[in-house]
Amino acid sequence: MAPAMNRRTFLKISGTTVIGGLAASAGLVSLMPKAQANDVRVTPDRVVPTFCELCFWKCGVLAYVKNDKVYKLEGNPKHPLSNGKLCPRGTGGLGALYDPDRLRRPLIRTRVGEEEKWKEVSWEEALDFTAKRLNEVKAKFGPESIALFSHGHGGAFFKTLLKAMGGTTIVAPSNDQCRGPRESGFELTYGVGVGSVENIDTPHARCIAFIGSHLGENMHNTAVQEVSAAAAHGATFITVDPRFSIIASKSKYWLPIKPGTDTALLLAWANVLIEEGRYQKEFVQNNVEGFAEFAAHVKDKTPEWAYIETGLEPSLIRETARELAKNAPAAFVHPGRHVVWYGNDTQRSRAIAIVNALLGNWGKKGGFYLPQSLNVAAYPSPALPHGAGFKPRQTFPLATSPCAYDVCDASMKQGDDAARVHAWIVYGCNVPLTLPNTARTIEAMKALDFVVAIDTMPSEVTGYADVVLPENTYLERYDDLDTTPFRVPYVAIRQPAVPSYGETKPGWWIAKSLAEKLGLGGFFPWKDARDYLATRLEKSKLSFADLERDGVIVGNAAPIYDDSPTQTFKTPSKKIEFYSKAMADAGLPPLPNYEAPEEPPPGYFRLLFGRSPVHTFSRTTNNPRLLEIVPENELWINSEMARVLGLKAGTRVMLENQDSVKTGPIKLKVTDRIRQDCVYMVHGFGREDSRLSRGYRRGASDARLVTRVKRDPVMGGTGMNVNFVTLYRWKEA
Amino acid sequence: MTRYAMTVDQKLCVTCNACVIACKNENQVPEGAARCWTVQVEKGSFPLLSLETRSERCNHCENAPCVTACPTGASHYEDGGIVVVNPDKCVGCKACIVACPYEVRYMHPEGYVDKCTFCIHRVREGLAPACVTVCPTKALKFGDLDDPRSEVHQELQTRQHKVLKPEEDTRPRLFFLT
Amino acid sequence: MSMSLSAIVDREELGRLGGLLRVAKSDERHVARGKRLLLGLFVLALAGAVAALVALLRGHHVMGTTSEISWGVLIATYVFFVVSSTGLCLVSSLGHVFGFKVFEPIAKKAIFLALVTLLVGFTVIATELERPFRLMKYAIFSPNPAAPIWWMGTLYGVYMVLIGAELYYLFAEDHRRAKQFGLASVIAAVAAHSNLGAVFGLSHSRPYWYGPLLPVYFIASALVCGAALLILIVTVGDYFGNDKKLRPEHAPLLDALRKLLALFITIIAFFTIWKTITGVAGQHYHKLEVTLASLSGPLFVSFWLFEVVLGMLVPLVLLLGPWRRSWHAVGLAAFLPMLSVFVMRYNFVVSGQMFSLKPVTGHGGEQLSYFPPFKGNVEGFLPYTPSWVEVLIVAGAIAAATLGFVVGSRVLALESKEA
Repeated sequence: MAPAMNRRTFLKISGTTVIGGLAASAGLVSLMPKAQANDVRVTPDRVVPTFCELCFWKCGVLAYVKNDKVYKLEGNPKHPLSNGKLCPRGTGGLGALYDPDRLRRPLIRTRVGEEEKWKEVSWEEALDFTAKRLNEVKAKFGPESIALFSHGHGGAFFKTLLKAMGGTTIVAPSNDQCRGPRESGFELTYGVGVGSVENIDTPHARCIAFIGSHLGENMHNTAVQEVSAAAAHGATFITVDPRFSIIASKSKYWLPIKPGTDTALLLAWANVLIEEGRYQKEFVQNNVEGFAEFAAHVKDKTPEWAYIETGLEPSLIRETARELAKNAPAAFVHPGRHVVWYGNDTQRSRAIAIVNALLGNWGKKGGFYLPQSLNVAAYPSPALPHGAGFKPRQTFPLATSPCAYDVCDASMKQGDDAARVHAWIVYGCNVPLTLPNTARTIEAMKALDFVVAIDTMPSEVTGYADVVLPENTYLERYDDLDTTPFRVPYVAIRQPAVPSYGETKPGWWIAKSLAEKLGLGGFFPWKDARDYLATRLEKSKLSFADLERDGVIVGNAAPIYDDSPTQTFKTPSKKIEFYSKAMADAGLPPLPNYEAPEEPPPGYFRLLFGRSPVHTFSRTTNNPRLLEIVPENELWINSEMARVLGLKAGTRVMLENQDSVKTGPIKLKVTDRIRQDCVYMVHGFGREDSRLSRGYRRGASDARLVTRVKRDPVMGGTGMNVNFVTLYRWKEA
Repeated sequence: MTRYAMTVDQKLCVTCNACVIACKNENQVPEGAARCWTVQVEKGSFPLLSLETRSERCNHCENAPCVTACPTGASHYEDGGIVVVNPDKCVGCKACIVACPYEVRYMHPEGYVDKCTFCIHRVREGLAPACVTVCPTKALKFGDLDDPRSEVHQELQTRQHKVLKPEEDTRPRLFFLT
Repeated sequence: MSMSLSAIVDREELGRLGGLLRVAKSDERHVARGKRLLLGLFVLALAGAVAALVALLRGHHVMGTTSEISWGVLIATYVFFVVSSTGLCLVSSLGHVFGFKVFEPIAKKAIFLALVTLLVGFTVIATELERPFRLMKYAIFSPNPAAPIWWMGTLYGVYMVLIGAELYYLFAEDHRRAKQFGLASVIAAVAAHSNLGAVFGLSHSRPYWYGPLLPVYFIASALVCGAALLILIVTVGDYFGNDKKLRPEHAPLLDALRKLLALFITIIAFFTIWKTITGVAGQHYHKLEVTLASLSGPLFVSFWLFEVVLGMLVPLVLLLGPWRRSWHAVGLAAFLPMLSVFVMRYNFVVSGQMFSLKPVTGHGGEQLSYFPPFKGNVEGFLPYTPSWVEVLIVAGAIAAATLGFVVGSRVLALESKEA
């Protein structure tokens, strides 16, 4: 058995730490299409349809190729999610393909004398080593001690791999660090979550309320297209946000709510709808279970009560509730997306789900439509073994999957070695920046027996891995089919537009090869990706040739609305459950309860964070094209507060949180577009990996500052908006 | 007569910058330069605020100071009034950069002055400029002002609009719908 | 009238040119110092030439200019040289064109230096252009008569030919022709230089420059430079060439120039005062910010120290005050405005561009944010620092012009034949 590594020091991938040396990455720079004279119409050699991986929406993309170089990316007009349009990240995908800092060859952490270095090795060697170490961990501690962190479309193959090994410890940060509470809130109410491509009928809505959703800065292509269509048709927007976001600026009503009090507002809205009889009575009578209990629950949650909690004028609360009611059922409260805020987030999502039910919009035009997906047959494969489950120390009664945060927790050194997680397989997920409290994640990674990271770029997570397996980018590979449920059923293909850079390989090949090394090749019975895809389509009576040519096959759409007076729901009572017996049985409040948030200590601000339309977390903060537009994040602070602190716009400050953790320096954006009690920054900056020649040390890292989390008692979501920061002028050392 | 123009709907634009990047790809704009960019204009004080959002680019003025200032005629009007620089004739004197009230021009590393061309190479093929094509919110529209069926003509008839720095008397062809 | 080369070139002196740079034991201290100075200038001129070559081969990015501040120190230096050339032509024309006898001895030297500075100025701007040879081609084959820059090139070309001819006739002692060409040169000089002012003055988009003031102001500046340079030619020439003593026949010339310089500086001061007042009053956007930048902002030192104190106050005191009899003081009083004019041209060129035309604060106090980010500071000012290539070209150009004049004054028959 390999000697225990002196617990992982952060190992940059650079010329001096790679044995065998890195060939000039200038080779990649020269791959970039050269500047051409003005106004020359370039004729492509080929235009390859595929789908994007700059974020998780998977818009159809057309890659224009000349001389085996992609010079332009456009939205695929045939793809229902893109409609020929692309967001800035998708358009800037060239920056990911031609980033000179890209991983190029498999790397193994090797001890050379006193130092640790990366050694460039062949795939054979890297895979053998990985298989060997995984087998060791499996043999000693069981397959449940191996965890897979997966974020991205190619993760499916690694899920199969882990399950084939007999493990089930598969975690997705998109669960407990993002949408988890929303899904559980809606599942507990409607029996089903809202999914990714949320089933909201935005283009036909007459009134939409956004609670914290900052569409326009959060740039999911289709979502923004649809909101724009709604705006063009004169829909009314209500935005509830401590910050005057872009969507707030386009809203008829902006409610600058005190952070953490959204549930109070929702309960007050419910109060107005019920007390003033403005809710959809027939719909509620036919489809809702537990209305009476809920009505009694909100009887005292008047707008006046909510005013004390939220700071919002009672008249404004009433007016906005009436605006929603006036347009029902073509009115909805947006379910949000990243909802892990204050720890009581499932309850807030339940409140949103219930208010929507009061608007009677489920299955209705302009409300929530019934999504459908194209059924594509699976590749005939042997059944996967029933895996042993990993038992986290902290459990949550209604969690349907383990939490990434708990798996990280279980990776740290603790008394009983047998109850620990000992190995990580990380796919496309920069764990130290994804999970709150970077320092804690790093401590966990250092304690692990083995870490293998599969990624396209060096990042904080690869710095702590034992083996780094370089995947090629989405423009260079095949991947699993995409059949995301949407308004129309479709299947989309991802296929290579250009040959792979260096020795990078697609995820499907890496997973399959690893499986073969582990003696589990039988679970990957297909010959290669083309065989896998073509067979699946053939079995579903769909044309693979058509799919390759068009990038997408759109099926016949079944009705997405249900106008029948009574609908059936996948809940225990078959109705929309305002009162949740399942929660009551689990000892949790069965009706959405409001918990007042903690106050910031004197001199501190609540730390809030969000998105830039040009970036996808840390995935893009080294992308040269995107960094040109937004090179660093800025700290938003209210102008009056800045004046009081004596700080001017553009000053660089250091941030320190309640646990004395520091990050920065970060530039100040002094503005009136935010409340006085909070500060805001875009997530994904403050990179600590110096290999990222462009991203290194730009701006500050909110992930570092999120040292406290409040767990959602229902499913374990890590509420992150519970940290407070103070700031002071940065002095150059 | 053809008079090309573009409208930017400030109500729909979210300053996502897809247009900025699409333009960079389409026209091989060098790093550090931008043919188009986005602007947010914040007015008012908390909590009574408003925000103007738009993308800007060369205004392709009818009375372009850059065309007047160019000693060799490299900066000139093409079909439909699109202002274009002929790279061969450009000597790099930068008089046009100085003359432009909107600071839309930049020095190309290959030694000539460059700027937005309304993707004239696409317009000649019957396509819309790259920015208009990509815009996910449909905030950008392009067409012939003199054609009553064109979108820009109709937008300008039905919507309130403005141009930048009207006092310069440049008579821009880039209109902002307010 | 034909002329032999020997009438112009002193062959003996040509042979002794090497001695210009070599310090001999017999040389007096100040002469030795002068020679070392010349050696330094020679090295600097060479460095400048190398830098110019680098700029020509490597292109634009070795310069410190940006897309926002695209006219930098090289443009300012070009303006400095042509204003000197114009001034020399105008002030010396008082002698051999307009008949004021006291100025006649200086004619050949003045016109020669006018030609040298003009050619150096052209070279400097050629290094600034990306494709200088294209300008020559397309200015002829594809001219745009609406463009002030086209006129600038054309008029200066005409001016160059005219003063070249004037110099020829001066050497040939054909005073009638010299006077004719002298008059023509004066007209061309005024046309060309006021037009150069108009290159800036017709920029409607830049309120700090726009208006009728600049063409006139440039001519006034030229007069200052002309008088100052003539004083320097006399005083420095006598310092090194006449054993640190002023030649008695130069005294009346110097006195006349002294009074002229004082007059011209007063005119410039008058212009500056009104330029400042109109800049601040009326609160015209851009004009106001830039004027304030000079008065109390980033350009505070350049304006008050270099433009006002060293460029106007100290020279006037020296020229009109108790030291006016001392030719050393007068010499210093001529050097300071030259330094001041250089700094002022730099400020002037950069000021017009440093306040961004893309506002960061609107008229009603709105805040503007740009993506990609605004390249200036929160007040709206853009940065510019000349690169080492630019600095060397400028230093080399000044060195080359000085050297060219010194060599010329040794080797060519620039002394007047008239008593």
